[in-house]
Amino acid sequence: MRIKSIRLTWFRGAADPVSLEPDSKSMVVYGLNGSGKSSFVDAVEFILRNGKIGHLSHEYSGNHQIKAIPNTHKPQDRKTELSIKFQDESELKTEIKQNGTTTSSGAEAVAMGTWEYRQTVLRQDEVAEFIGDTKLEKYSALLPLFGLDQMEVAAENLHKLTGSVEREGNLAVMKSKIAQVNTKRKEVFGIDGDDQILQTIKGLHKKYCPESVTTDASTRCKELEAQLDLRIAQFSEDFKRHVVLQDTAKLDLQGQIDAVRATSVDLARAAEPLVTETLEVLKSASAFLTKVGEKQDVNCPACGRPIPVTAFNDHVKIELEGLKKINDISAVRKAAVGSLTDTIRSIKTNLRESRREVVER
Amino acid sequence: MVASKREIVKLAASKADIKVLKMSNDEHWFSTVFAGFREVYPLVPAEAFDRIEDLLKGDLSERTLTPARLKTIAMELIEDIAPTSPKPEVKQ
Repeated sequence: MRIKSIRLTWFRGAADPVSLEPDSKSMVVYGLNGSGKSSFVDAVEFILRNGKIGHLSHEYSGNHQIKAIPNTHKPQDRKTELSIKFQDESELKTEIKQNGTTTSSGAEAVAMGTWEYRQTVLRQDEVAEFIGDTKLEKYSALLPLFGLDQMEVAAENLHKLTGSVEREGNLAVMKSKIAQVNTKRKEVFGIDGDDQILQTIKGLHKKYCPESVTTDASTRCKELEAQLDLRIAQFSEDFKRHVVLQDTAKLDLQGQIDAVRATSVDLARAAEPLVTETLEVLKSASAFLTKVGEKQDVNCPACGRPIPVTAFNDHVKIELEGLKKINDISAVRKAAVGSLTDTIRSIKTNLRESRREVVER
Repeated sequence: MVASKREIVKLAASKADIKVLKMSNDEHWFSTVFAGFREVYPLVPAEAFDRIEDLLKGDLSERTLTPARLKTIAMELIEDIAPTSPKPEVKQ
């Protein structure tokens, strides 16, 4: 249901009968201070909130609020009234009496008291606050207007629930384990698909466990493992050493180290310009703040709101320290990778010699 | 000729290959969306979908839940997806 017209008589700022006619449409009212704009909004709020007007609660408590409703210049013989006409031609009439009581009649079918306040009126201070809001705050303020606040609550709960599931399910560790398994799988089976891997396991099982009749892949793997452990246990000590050294020597440690080194270089190439650029921006910001002085506010580059210079300066300092730390870590990482490469080379050389000795023996 | 809002939505949906779903009521909307989810994620057990669907129709959409309540729901969902104890057999 929509409002066709509002008529006020000695209500708040209104004196003799004065009308506003939205004519069942949404309406924006503007005008000079004291011209009576808010009186119409007050009238609507008065009905929606069962005789209460939010902004009056700062001056008048509880039942005393009703004293602020009649116009202070109202002659004794005049009445304080408001009347709201609706689209269906029904009319709600309310009279506020001298003793603070109210009488209402008409428009029972409209049940205006059940209307959503926020979907009905928006005051100028609320509009001003909305303009200053961040994007997220604007979004949150608009959702209830479309009746979508439940979706926002659900979205917030779901977002937090995702975090809870990740924590309780130890997902980060699980993901890391899956990544390790996938790497191992690639090492052992290459690009083989699931069916090919199952066939390989089947073949190995048939070869090493010929008497077993199991068809389950997992059981086959366990039996294979047990059978291989049994065979290894029967090897001589020298042969065991030989096998271990052979396997270790086959590892492509140099290749893996080269890959780590290459990604480190790529990371440095990508991060270096970013760090340099950010440092430049922060230095400029620091110089700017020195000129501005501590008493003024500046607009936060992130949220656009005015913040004290000291707060922004603290932020700049933290950012600068963070970047310095990144530079230090980068240098340490570079040195660590170099040292690791040397160690691996040395291990490889030793391994080759040990292997040769075992073979010769 | 100016296209109506409905026509524009239909046109945009056809270009983006989106299925236009008429929201006749919440119940219908949830059922349709969850039927799609169940199809896309066949490894997620029906119990987990049932639980989330019920929660979205109730608690999750009505109020901001406490961390303790969210933790309980998370544990229940994990139990639905990866049960730690075998499910009791239904007696015929």
